[in-house]
Amino acid sequence: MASQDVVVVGAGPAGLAAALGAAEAGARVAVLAGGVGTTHLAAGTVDVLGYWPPGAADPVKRPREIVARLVEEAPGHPYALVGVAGVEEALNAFGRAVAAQGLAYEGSLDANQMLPTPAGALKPTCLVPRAMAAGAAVAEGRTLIAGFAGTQDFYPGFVAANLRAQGLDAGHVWLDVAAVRARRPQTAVVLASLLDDPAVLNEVIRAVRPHASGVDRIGLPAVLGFRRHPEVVVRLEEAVGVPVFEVPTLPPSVPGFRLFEALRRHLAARRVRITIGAEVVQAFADGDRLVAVGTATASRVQRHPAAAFVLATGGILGGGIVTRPDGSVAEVALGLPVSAPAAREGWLRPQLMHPDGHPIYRAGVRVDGRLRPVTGEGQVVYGNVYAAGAVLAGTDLWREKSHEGVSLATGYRAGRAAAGKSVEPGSGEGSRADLPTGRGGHG
Amino acid sequence: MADVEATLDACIKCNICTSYCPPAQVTGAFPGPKYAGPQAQRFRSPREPSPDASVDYCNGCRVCNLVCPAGVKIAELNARARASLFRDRGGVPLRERLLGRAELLGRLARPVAPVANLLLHNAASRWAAEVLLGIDRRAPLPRFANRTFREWFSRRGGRAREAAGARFTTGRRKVAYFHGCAANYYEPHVGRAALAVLERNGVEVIVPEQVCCGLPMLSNGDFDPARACFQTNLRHLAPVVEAGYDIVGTSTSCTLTLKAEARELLGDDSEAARLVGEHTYDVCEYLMAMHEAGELDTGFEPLELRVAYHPPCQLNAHRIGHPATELMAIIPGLEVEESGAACCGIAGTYGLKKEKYAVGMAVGRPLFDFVKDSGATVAACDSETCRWQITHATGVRCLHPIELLARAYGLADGQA
Amino acid sequence: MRRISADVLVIGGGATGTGVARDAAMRGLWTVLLERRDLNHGTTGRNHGLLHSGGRYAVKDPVSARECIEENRILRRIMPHCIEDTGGLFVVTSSDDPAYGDRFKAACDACGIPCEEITPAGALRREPRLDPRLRRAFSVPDGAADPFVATLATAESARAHGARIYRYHEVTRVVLRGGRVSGVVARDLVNDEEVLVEAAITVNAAGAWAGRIAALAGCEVKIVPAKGVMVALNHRLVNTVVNRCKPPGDGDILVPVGQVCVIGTTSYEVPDPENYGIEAWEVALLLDEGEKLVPGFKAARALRAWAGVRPLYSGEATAGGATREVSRTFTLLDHETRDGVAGLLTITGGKWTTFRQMAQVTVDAVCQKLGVARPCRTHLEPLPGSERRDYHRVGAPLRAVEGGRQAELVCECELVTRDQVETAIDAGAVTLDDVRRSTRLGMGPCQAGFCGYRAAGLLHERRQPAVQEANLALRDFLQERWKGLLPVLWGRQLRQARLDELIYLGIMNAERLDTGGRKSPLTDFYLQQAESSAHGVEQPLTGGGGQERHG
Repeated sequence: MASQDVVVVGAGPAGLAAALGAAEAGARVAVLAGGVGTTHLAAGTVDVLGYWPPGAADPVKRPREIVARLVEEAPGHPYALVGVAGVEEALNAFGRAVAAQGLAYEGSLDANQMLPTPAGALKPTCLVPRAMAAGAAVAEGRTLIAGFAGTQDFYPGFVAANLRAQGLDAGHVWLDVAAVRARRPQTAVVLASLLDDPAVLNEVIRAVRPHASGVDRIGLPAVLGFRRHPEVVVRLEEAVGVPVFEVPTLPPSVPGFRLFEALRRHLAARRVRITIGAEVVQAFADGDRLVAVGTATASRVQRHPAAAFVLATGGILGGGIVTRPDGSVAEVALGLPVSAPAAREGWLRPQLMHPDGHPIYRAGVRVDGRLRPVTGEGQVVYGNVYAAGAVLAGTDLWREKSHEGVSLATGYRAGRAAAGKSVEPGSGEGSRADLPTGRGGHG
Repeated sequence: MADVEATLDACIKCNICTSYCPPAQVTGAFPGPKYAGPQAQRFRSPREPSPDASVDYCNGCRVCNLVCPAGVKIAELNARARASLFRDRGGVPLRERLLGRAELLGRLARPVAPVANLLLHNAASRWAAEVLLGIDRRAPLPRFANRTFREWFSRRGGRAREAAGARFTTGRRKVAYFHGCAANYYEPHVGRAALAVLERNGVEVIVPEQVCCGLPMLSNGDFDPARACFQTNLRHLAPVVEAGYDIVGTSTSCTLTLKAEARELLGDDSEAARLVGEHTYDVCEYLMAMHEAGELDTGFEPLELRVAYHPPCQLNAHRIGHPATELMAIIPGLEVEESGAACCGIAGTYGLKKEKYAVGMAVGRPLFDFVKDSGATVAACDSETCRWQITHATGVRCLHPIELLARAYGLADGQA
Repeated sequence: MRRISADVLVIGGGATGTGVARDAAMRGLWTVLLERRDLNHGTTGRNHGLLHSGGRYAVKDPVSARECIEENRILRRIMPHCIEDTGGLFVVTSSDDPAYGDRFKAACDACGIPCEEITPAGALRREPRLDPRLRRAFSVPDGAADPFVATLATAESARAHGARIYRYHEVTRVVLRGGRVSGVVARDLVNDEEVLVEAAITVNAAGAWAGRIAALAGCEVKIVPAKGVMVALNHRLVNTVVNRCKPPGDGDILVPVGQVCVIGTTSYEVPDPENYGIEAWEVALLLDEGEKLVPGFKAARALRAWAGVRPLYSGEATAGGATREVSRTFTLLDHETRDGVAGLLTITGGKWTTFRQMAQVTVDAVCQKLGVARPCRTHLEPLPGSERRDYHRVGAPLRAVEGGRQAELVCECELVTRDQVETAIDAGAVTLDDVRRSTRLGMGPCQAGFCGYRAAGLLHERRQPAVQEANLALRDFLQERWKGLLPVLWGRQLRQARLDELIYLGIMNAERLDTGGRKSPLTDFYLQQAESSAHGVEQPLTGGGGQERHG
């Protein structure tokens, strides 16, 4: 492969943010990923920090304040490395990118919004896709939760009952839409594409409309169109006369697919090549510099040289970190040192939903203030490798509800750093005086 | 080489594959790759008849393998399940056996190509083929060339030849050209273009003895003859590789089969298979590698053309990126727009079958729209059946990228 | 207090208890069965899924071996749908003594167990994944069994003959009247009320808990609770039951059952049949032993581990937990002759394969005491569900949903449809684990990752309970799955568990669903079992990662 300025390994939220950061800094970027990332599985919201400490009973109300506090309280947390300014910078860049592709997100670091989940709990989240935004108002007025009869992935009665149990005014209805009932297979993406069809959408409208009077908003499973999503939501809202909002579903996540597609389009327009199905299996190093990564092909290893690299392969779920029965924990793509509990006995707790979470899920790569992986002694492993997202040690993304925030903030920062935009640890954008790496050879 | 069945253990049931699966997006007949692959596999036993027939609606495009975050060899699980299904039903159906034998058809038809084309491409015989064999009367079938690639090559002298004006000396790189069935019987001009481009770059090209790569049989569940083909090819090709030649092909399906697919599906872990696999290249992959080594003559003449390029599924399964896109980008004046569509729907012979023709056309819809909307006068694609499908559905002429490269070198094909 | 009366009261809803209830009911006795949890909740539901040919016991325990082969033939006849006719192999691996094969063959012949030596090549043709270095192989009529379905079918038959079966009724007191057991007092755990059950004869079929029931009547029955650990792998690596041809030991049997294969077992005495852990070394040992049979075994994905507690009966105490030395045959204790307590019988020992014979012997004794002269017919009358008179097939669930029913799946891994889940809910499931036992919900690779939510949603939809109950059902079920996951969480199964966390924590925030402080009869049990198996992490950690190391 032709040499790049920056090769990003991984195409989840951190990898895409890294590509965005590097591309915005003017670098030639290629993204290599073994498969698609957790963007496709998670809710499609941007969760920055929902609970701190992770087991706290009450949600974080103002993420800006708590992230700032966390910089002091938890120096090993990825947020401590990028600071509030770094988080904000990344969220802004993200917001601009997806908005440019017609996928608007609402919200800011100043306030979390409480969104109904498919179980009927409320989850604190920071940036919300436009199509979920009306869900943040469930505390006021009456909400109707609607599901599709004949499908297995969404239970409106369960959602509404849990909303009521929290003192909210909510009801539910099952919509019997023949086209939905008949569609097979019934994964969310397939149903969302089905709703792109105006005839099917009309059927849905006919089914919802009778239930719209007397309610202030209607929540539906997040299958409101795929390619024609914004149009579908507008049509639906016009037809039923009240705001409509999506509630996330079991994976895979349609809002996650839309998010990935928007970022992919945005990056493609900036000549970022994203190759899915290119798993990095080898590292070619020259002393303390990584020269190239090798991907598995049908028969040989293919080299991808670059001036700098961002590792965004994910954690245990994304496949960036592997765990073995002998208690060893490894970083897969580059074989970097990993920080993990000392033995398998220390990995997990007897209670699945223990508020403090399972220590193994905090395992990962430790980095210096510029997001470069370090050894146990704090030595930088490669001067031109940066790590971002769930592959980083020191955070349990699902318990904190910080998955996208950590991924975007560290990813964007790592991308910029890899492209030669140096930044001070824990700060917003710094000067360019301290270049960690040279720029790529090809212009 | 990974044990195909063992990869089912990697599945975490996330259904990302189902969400990307082209057939699952358009038909309920296929329950999706996760369902038919790693999930159903747990319910299949070599001691019992196949419990599910719906796996036959997998078109083998391998998009599932590509997007799977866990590395499950889903398409291969499905291909094997199809083979078992046919075995349990008392053998591979006549249609599937026929469609798997592109080479035999080519051999039979070649001496009487004009007659064969007439027979194959008239309404009455297409009607008969649909009724008797279940081959859809609308589906795109190729035409036999009057002269095969091998015949042309042997008339040319049957030996490697140094091209006039080649910058590099012969012998520096040595290639054994795998033409496969398509370039031999249907599109010899693709083979001639490949030869011309390689020779223009000083590559010594020979055309080794070879038979069908076996993929049409593999994807039609007909494993035994496919194994025989693969063994024959290994017998011919392994010594060629040992003699210092790389195998280069113009059909992404043939090269994929030689690289990995036959080994995985047939469970062949022989040294010869490994050797041939590791030395097989798609022609654009090979040229791109030359380019990266600074060995490619980039003295292209401008081609004022707008091309809608579709990287076929078979190419994606190579996992080598899109070398044709990068090569075409070097040609001055050539404007290449790459399709983001997943699959053209033909999937080798899938889209020819009566009950699957509509599925194939629906799968290809986004691609056909892309080609039509692109305003391109020419489409390009590395895989022959996809080219035929694209032209069939859009009316736009579709070339192999190597033909564009040959043209940009000014290597007009004197041989119509 | 609610009062129930009967001729025969059976305590215990496992294979033996339901077997006794069926037999008694078929002989026209007015029968009541009490189970303190769900049917199959005890050892029957934690078993190896092995229909013994008797080969395993032929050398050391010929009485058991003969019982096994006799019952093997009967069960194949009366419940073929609960059995997969896998056949069995006894293989002498490269680490075993080839001479043992001769002893084994001779012992099988002596016990009437059909046994045929086949060539190593023949064994490899049959099971290509076996270690090619195997030295000898013998073919026997072992099979794979589904004890869940078998017990439910037995219970259904018992009910059809008039038996009344009460689940979640825990015996708290045995009523003694003039040296005679006249019944028991039980607590209905669901409705939280006491029930008095009066019966002419009480049969103690409480398995590993039989000692406790006997103690309530003032009798001492020394049960050796012998824990056996098993590990299920994600898919079948063999399609034949494969035994090591050597003296019985740990991890010497690999059973392909349903969609998984199960390696087992260990055999160690535990002090409490209710509270035992699965130790890391036990799992490691089983995987090591599996590797000797099937190279690559350890690299395959382990789904889950569990342990059953065998109710081994020993007249006197065994030394040093050497539970393999205790006979696997069964024992019927008549407490009238043994302890001077009339009206109480204890049936114990044995194994799943011989449960029907255990029931027959027990009910023969009951009939004798009641002066009833009706012969046993349980070996003649097939169980409900066996109408097709065909063995179970691995592919059957897949075949059943072919042609469009895929969209009705609640549990995709095990192909459980919405109908099946709703039927189980309507049949009075108290926990989602009860639904699992009758449907296989949540038993596949994702371990309720996807279907837990769906089942909770359906439970809420069908029953319309206070939503806190549905929330509790969900949380209980996930914790129940977690306890069996803990011992095998690494690699791909840990990755799966992390996806399940993304679903329940990342997407749903389900850890904050209100359960209103409720507990089900099993909430504490699930947690306690997990605690016994989790060895490290006791101290709550916040923020940091605890002890860390770099590698």
